[in-house]
Amino acid sequence: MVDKDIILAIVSSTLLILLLIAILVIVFFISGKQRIKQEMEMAAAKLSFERELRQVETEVSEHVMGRFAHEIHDNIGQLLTAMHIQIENQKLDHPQLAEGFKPTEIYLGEVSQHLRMLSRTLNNDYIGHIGLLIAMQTEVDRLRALKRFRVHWPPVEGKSNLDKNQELMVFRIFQEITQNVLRHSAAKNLYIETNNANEQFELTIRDDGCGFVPEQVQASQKASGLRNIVKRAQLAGLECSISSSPGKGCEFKLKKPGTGNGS
Amino acid sequence: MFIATMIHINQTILIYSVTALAAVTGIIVFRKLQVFFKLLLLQVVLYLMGDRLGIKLKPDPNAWVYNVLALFETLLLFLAAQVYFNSKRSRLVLQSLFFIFLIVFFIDFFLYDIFKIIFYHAVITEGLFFSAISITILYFQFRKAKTHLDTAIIVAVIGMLIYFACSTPYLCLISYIQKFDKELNKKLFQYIVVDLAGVRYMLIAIAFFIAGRRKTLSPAN
Repeated sequence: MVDKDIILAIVSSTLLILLLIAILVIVFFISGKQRIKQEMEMAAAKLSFERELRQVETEVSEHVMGRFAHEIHDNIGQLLTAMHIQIENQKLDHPQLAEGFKPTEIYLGEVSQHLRMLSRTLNNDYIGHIGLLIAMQTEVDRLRALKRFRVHWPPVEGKSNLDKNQELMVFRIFQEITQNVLRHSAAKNLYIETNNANEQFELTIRDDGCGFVPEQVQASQKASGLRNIVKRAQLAGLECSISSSPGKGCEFKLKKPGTGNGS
Repeated sequence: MFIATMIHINQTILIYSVTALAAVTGIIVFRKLQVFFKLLLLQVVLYLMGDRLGIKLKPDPNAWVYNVLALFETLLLFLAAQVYFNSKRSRLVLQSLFFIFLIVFFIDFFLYDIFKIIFYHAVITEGLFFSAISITILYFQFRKAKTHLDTAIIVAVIGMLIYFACSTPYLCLISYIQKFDKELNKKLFQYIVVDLAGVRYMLIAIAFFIAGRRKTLSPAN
């Protein structure tokens, strides 16, 4: 016969192990929960820090751009006006030279106009005042004047369904994208579409240029512009998608969350 | 006596139903299962078939079926653990543990008659190793439990830990009890090993169900 104590030992040790397993699982569960909570708090803090950093960066760059805009408007603009007055005086003093001054006057007029447009697009107060859609129209006019590609943008009336900060961000993203098209795409056409109806906002910018592989470009060190676009969109609380492939152009889509495909 | 026989029959039916449930659940969601769970499913099917064969062979000596089953079961569980731990160092540790198990298994093979005696040293080694491995998996798993898959792994591993850790004290004394009281040994086997196996396969069935519910596949680790 087997000693009863042995059976008791087997049964009690089995139950004890079962109890230990239960304790172990509870301890692991609690510590795991705490760790996950801690990780989430750390991730939130990191995100908030990045957000603030980006905000500061944006404010600094807006400030610098504002300074440029004022400099162009106040100093260079004044100098060009002085040149214009000087030419007018010369024409009055020497009427026989009036014909010779004509091409210079035309170039001077164009330079003044381009600088005025550039000054406006750099000035965030001006953009805030006139609104996103008119600011975009000014930028489109500037691009059209460069005659590097055809810009297709059906006129849009009214105001965008975005707040002032979002408008400024979207405009800067728009500028970044058009600059990229200008510099790298070799596109012949640039298509811009806006869906601004019923509290929605969706901006699509498409070109028929050389295209690229988004993952490759984003992974490279040079793609600060592309990363800026994505980070600015995140900061503005907008959804941003980039689709492109070599030889097939590129499409950027900016969307206010909750905006569907249809209008 | 009648009650005892009835309990024994009920337990046998229960363990078969639970194991079959685990196998059927696993087969239904097979396409959605990760490699870790596929190996676990293979082990469940193997157990179901092996145990069936063992019972069919009675009253002839059938210990060899359980010995061979223990070898393949351990191999499959080690493979599943290897799939879970994908670092080189962990794999080396697991391979070393399996090698130690093989040594113990072959020592038992030379010491005892494979047809008559279950290699309980090897079974105890298997139990100890998988208790440690299960605790390690649980430790890592609870730190990242976020998806259905993580929960499924936790449920399956708790099942295995309960079985392997709780049956070890009895398995350590199985030979001693068998020598002095065969009837008692049969009862203890039924109440400890068979019931714990029932819990194990029930939890594995739940794990298969949870793992099969998830929509997308993601790496096990």
